[in-house]
Order: sequence, then C-alpha cells, then structure tokens
Amino acid sequence: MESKKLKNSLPGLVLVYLAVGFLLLNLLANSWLQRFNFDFTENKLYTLSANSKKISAAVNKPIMLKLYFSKKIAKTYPYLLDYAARVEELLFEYQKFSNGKIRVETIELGPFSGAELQLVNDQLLGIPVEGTNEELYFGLAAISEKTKEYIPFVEPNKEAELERTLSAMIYKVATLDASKYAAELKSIAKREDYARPLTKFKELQSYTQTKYQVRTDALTQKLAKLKEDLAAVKTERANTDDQTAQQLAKDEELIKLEMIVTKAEVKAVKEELNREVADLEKNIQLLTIGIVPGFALMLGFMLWWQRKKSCGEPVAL
Amino acid sequence: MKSKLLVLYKREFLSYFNITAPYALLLTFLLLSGISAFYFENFFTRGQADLLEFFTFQPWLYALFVPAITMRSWAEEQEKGSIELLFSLPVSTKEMVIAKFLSAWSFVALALALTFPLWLTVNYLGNPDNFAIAASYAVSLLMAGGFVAVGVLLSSCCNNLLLAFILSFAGCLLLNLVGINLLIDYLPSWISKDLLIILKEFSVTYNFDAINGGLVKFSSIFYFLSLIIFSLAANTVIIDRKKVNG
Repeated sequence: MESKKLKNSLPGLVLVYLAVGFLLLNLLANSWLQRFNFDFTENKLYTLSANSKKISAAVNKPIMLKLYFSKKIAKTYPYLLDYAARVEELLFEYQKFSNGKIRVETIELGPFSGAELQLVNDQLLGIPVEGTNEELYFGLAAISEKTKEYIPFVEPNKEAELERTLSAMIYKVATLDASKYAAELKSIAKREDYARPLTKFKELQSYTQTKYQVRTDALTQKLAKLKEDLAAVKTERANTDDQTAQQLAKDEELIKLEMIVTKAEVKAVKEELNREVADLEKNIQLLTIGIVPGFALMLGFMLWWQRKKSCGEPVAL
Repeated sequence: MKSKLLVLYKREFLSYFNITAPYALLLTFLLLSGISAFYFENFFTRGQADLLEFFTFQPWLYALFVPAITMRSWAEEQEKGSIELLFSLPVSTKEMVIAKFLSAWSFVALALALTFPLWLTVNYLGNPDNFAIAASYAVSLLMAGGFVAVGVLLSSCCNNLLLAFILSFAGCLLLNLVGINLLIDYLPSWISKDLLIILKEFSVTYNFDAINGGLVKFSSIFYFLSLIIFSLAANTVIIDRKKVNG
C-alpha cells in the first residue's frame, strides 16, 4: 500500500515540476528576449537602415519616445492597427541601438484617459470617428530634458518617409552635432514597399472595364445621334404643313422609343459589368478553394490505392 | 534505437490513411483555410497581396483540427487495450511518445502543405512578400507542433476517444483564448493587469500574431519549442506511470 502510494505521488510531483519549469523558462525568455527578433521580410521592413542606427547610437542623453494610440477605437480600422504595430516595432528598433539612452513607451488613449489626454491635447490631433463622438489619436512624441517634438498624427500614407521623420525627430531632440550627422540624415532612403497591392487583380479588373467601355461608348454615341435626329425632326415639323407634320410626329415618337431602349441597354451593360467584376472575385476564390481539397482528395486516393495494392491490411509492428 | 523509432513512426503515420475520418478532417481543414483566407475579411476590398487573414485564423483552426487528429493516439490504444501489447514490446516509453507525436505532427504538416494553392493565388494576383509568407508557414508548423504535443498529452490522460477530443479541444482553445482581449475584459477586476499581461504571453494567439508581418520574435519560437518539449516530457511521465501501475 505504502509503495503504491509513493509510486502514484511521484509522477504527479514531476508533472508539477515540469509545469513550473515551463512557466519560469518562458517568463525569463519573455522578459530577457522580448526585443530579440528575426526580420524575415524581403526588404527588411523592421530593421533600421545603417544611417538611422548611427544616429540612434550617437544619442548621448536620455530620450523618451512616446506613442499615443487609441487602440480600442482603432479596432474598426485593421490597417491602422497593423500600421501602429509596425511603428511600435520601429521605435523599439531605435531603442535597441541606442545603448539604453532611448526609451519607448506606448500609451493607449481611450475615451476616458483624461489626464494624459489633457496633457497632450494641444499637441496631438484627434480624428473624429464616424458614427461615434469619440476621437482617434495616433501621435508620437520625442521628449528630452530640454526639448519636445511632436507628430500630431502619424499618417499611414506617409509610411515611406516614417523612418526618416523619426530619425530627424530624434536627431533634433538629442541636439546632435549638425555637421557630423546631417549627411546620414539626408541619405535615409524612402521605403515604398510596405504596401503590396493586388496588381494583377487590378489589371484584370480594368481589362474587364475597358471591354465594357467600348460597348457603353458605342451606345452613348448612338444616343447622342438620336438626340440630334430628334432635334432635327422637331425643327422640321415646325416649318411644314399639317400633313407632313403628322408624319413627322410619328417619326418623333419612334425616335423617342428608340432612345428609351438605348438607355435601358446602357443600364443593362453597366449591370453586366458589375456582375462580371463580382464574378471575377468569385471565380478566383472558388478556384483557389476548390484546388486545395482537390489535391487532398487526389493524394488520399493515391495513397489508399497503393496501400490496397500492396497489402490491404494495416501495417503490423 | 533509431530504427525502432522509425518503425513505430511509420506504423503510426500510415495508420492515419487506413480510415476515412482523417481524410474528411483534412478536407474540412483545407476548405476552412480557403474560406478564412478570402471571406472572413474581404480579401479583395483589403487589396493587399498577403495571407494575413489565413494566418490570423489558423490558431483557431488548429484548435479544432489537431485534437481530432491526436485524440486517437493514446486514447484508442487504452480503449481497445492494445496499449498492453505496446508495453510488452522492447521499446522505451520515450520512443513511443516521440513516435506518436511525430506521426500526428507529420499529418498536420501535410495538411498545412496542401494549402499551397493559396500562396500561388496571391502570387498570381499581386507581388507578395514571399519571405514573410515562408516565415509564417514555418512558425505555423511549429505552432501546430505545440498543439499536437498538447493534444497527444491530453489524449494519454483519457481512455475514451470522445473524452480525449473534448479535453484536447478545451485545452487548445484555452491556449488560444488567454491571448485575446475579449476574455481578458471579462475576467474579474481584482486580478491585476500585470498578471493578465503575463498570462497573455503564454497564449498561442499572442505568440503567433506577432509574426504575421514576417517579424519573428525569438521568445515566440522559444515558447512553441518549450511547449512541445514539456508536453512530451509530461506525456512520458504519465505513460510511464500507466506502465508501472497497469
């Protein structure tokens, strides 16, 4: 009885040790290696350029970089969240190369964070959010003992110049020697490769659009011609006697009818275009999603067949 | 020792192809992958050539898919009693555990590999950052390993297939849930915020979200690796105990 109890309790103890070990090791890894990252992007988007590294390494007094961001309000704008995450990573990159001189702090500005809001309200730009009476803040501040620099709103469409702007801010706040680092600041390149639009898809879309444009153009031309005809018939009718006028009135009716038909045709063509553009999306989606399980089925069938041919029985040990 | 492990692994891996259920699971996984990539947030209105949505949804997809794969590993052996046969064989517990883990992981890896048409499609439609996508796939595989290790571990605690599935599903879901703010908002306020932030670091979603843009945190890789190693170690301990106690 005794020995059985011992046997039972021992593995339980080992399990507890294992769990504690797992937790502790990860806590250590999280606190020590928090900023130890690998940048796998093609153009090293999360890595500072050599010039920015030089500038942040040259900082010789404490600087605080504060990112003010209304994360909760920004939830409806996923691209803004992504962008803020990238900005934050970039700020931490500056911290990494500054020998402890630069510190980064992210401050979430919610609707009720009153004190902070009051403090920065003069410097930051709140963007009113549609449908609510809340304001979205996404500002940046570089603060040293003597000076402060602000970016009222970090505009997402200026991401290409972000690194240059940040370096310039740090450079200014740290009052670095102008003659030494001016050249470095100037040669921080723009980065255009953050956005990767669906170029081919847009091409396909515009191809469809031009195809339909030809048809709509022809129809509008026809419509213009009919209008001219109508005007001509009208003037002619005004200048003739009764009998021909009756004939011309019939012509007028016919032209009007044709105009209505043509207008309906234009509308139909537009609808067709919209449908084809939507179909383009749908076809791409269905094709992709369909190919995936198709491959799986094929693979499964091949394996099944081969196994059936070779043994027919499950593999025994 | 190597060859024993190899034989065990082969037997376990091929056993997935003997029954129909894994095929159905594979199909479901692939369909849901495709749907998550295109429909969850309209891919074409976002207009970016990447697989962001696909990877964001992946932890949740794994939480459903992996337990269904791993539930059989130990629970079925215990249900049928074939575990006694396994114990009588001249293989160590460690080898058994590793073989079970590797075979399930390989199956999930196969499923992940079969999502390649999504990658092809974004390459056709635009000019994506293929290095970042490759990194995401690699870490996704590692994440799958973490889920598989947890699933195999929890399967060893049960002697019933359904129980194994439910327990592993709950475990994997919990690993995901602690990382999202939705849950954190609902926890009582007397739990300190710092504790919640620490708790968040132990979630799969938190560790996987960060790499979506191609930036891989070392601590994330460490987390997944340690999750695998510690789960396997715990698994060995539990199976050893079963071996001794019978």
